[in-house]
Amino acid sequence: MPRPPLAVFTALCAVLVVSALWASASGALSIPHNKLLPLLWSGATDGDDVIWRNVLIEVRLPRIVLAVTVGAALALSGAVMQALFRNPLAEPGLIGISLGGAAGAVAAIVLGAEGLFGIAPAAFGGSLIATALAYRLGSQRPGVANLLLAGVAINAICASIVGFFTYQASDVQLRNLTFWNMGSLAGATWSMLAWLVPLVVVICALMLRDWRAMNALLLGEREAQHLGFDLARLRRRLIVLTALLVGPLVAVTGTITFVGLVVPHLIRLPLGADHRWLLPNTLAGGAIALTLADWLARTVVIPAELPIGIVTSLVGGPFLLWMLTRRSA
Amino acid sequence: MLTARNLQCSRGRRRVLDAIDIDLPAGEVLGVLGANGAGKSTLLGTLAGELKPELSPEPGLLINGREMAAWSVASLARCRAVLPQSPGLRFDLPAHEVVAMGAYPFPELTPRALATLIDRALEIADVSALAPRAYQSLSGGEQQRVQFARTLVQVLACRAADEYRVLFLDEPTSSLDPRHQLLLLQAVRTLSRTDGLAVLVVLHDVNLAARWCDRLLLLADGRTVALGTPANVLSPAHLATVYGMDATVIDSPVHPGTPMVVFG
Repeated sequence: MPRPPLAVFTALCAVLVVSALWASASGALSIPHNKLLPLLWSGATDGDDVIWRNVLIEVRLPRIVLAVTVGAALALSGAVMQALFRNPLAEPGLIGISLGGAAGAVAAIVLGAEGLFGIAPAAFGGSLIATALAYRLGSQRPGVANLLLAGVAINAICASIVGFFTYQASDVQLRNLTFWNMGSLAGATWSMLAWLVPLVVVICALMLRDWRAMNALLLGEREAQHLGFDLARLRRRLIVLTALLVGPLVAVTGTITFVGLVVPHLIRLPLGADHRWLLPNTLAGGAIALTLADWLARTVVIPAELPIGIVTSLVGGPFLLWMLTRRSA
Repeated sequence: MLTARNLQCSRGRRRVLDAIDIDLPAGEVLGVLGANGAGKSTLLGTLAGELKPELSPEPGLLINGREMAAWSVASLARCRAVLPQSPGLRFDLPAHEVVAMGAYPFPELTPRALATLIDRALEIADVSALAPRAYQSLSGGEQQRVQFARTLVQVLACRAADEYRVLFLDEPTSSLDPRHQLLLLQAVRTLSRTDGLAVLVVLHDVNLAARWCDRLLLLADGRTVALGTPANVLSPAHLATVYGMDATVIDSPVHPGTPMVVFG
């Protein structure tokens, strides 16, 4: 029997708060844990406290809020893709949605767009094309492999677009290739979060509303139609929402793979596939996963920093292999 | 009531349905018989609003006097349910959850009304004991009964007693044991009487169809061979046209008045 979903959700939220606090304390400059809450609440007076408070508020916290936002959004988009594509391996990174967004962003930057309000729409456009393409190609034949093959092709095309524009660009224009391929949360600022967080919240809320349709899709596309869900409209809506979610994220963080694959599957283990509970728990799980991944990326090779994609791929790659062997068995 | 006049449907260049006239009145079970590839599933898909029929001069396909094309997907789901031939499930859910999906077109149901409705459907489909189990751990026949319960929830959900609703069943007995074949068709027939359901059921077993359906439609090559009560349409000549096989028709020794068909 599945465990009470509300209890799982509460537990996940508690874990999220603890890991966020933990992550905010450690890094190149480590802040004593017992100082965290006083620093946030009552401000700083003497020397060390002032530095700690500055690091905490201007560097660590925005980064952790970004990790929570991006992790939740990526994991949710993975769960939504898996429902819509009816494929357990659907994930924004694997099927090329993320790199599609990166290609759009890079092209926009090199062609002269400035600021996130110029870049994010281009990233959305790139993601949208990649998602629609993946859906088209991936659903032509049954079976999970088709979508992955389409993803390989889409990723290859987008990677070459990213590569082309990166070599065209001046250093000032563009962060390096690693950023677009491996991702990083280092660019987090409060002003960026001020528009990113509301966007993500709204889109996630819209996605959560479709939990019934996603459950019905578990039965099949015909059956979902029989149960009153207009498939063409649902498909259009979810594809656009996913691109709206993933595209701007990629413009901010680069591509971070595997969160959308691993988290929903881990949540399904205790909870089952009922999207009413799966989707909110996936949000919480994704937030935890990326907070911890970013914490590792920051602390493993102090004072340097790993691209966060290395951490997520290190966990996600073996997970994908495990899934592939399990499915063929 | 659902009415179809001069219904035509093609797949590629092949015409799979031609000149079908059919009514599905409330309170009646219509059985559809035919050989493989005769167009049974296409007919079901077309009448269920899933496949688009070709335009014919007459208004071809109506529910309650309104063209099928004018119904929204959501409003159609409130008056018709479909049990498909081989229902699967992508990720595992408890069987209970699958049955509850039948109420998705009715978000206005209270949790209490929903629970009553689901219990009733589970009981009718004889799957109450399976409800807490994981769907994918069930046998093929058990899964079919769970899906049957799901369509029952959809077709029995709250509405005015005289509102038209129609249930489409595509070979619902194909993987059931004899007892459950009988229970299912008996339940369908009873519900058509007590709840005024219109039912269209595609069957392969001629004798089950003869016993439980009010009228039978015999299809061959997408055309109507005969339409009427079992006693009227189950003749050796019709059966030879439909199945390409000799058949003897006798009066059932157990259920007098019901024809019984022996092939070969």
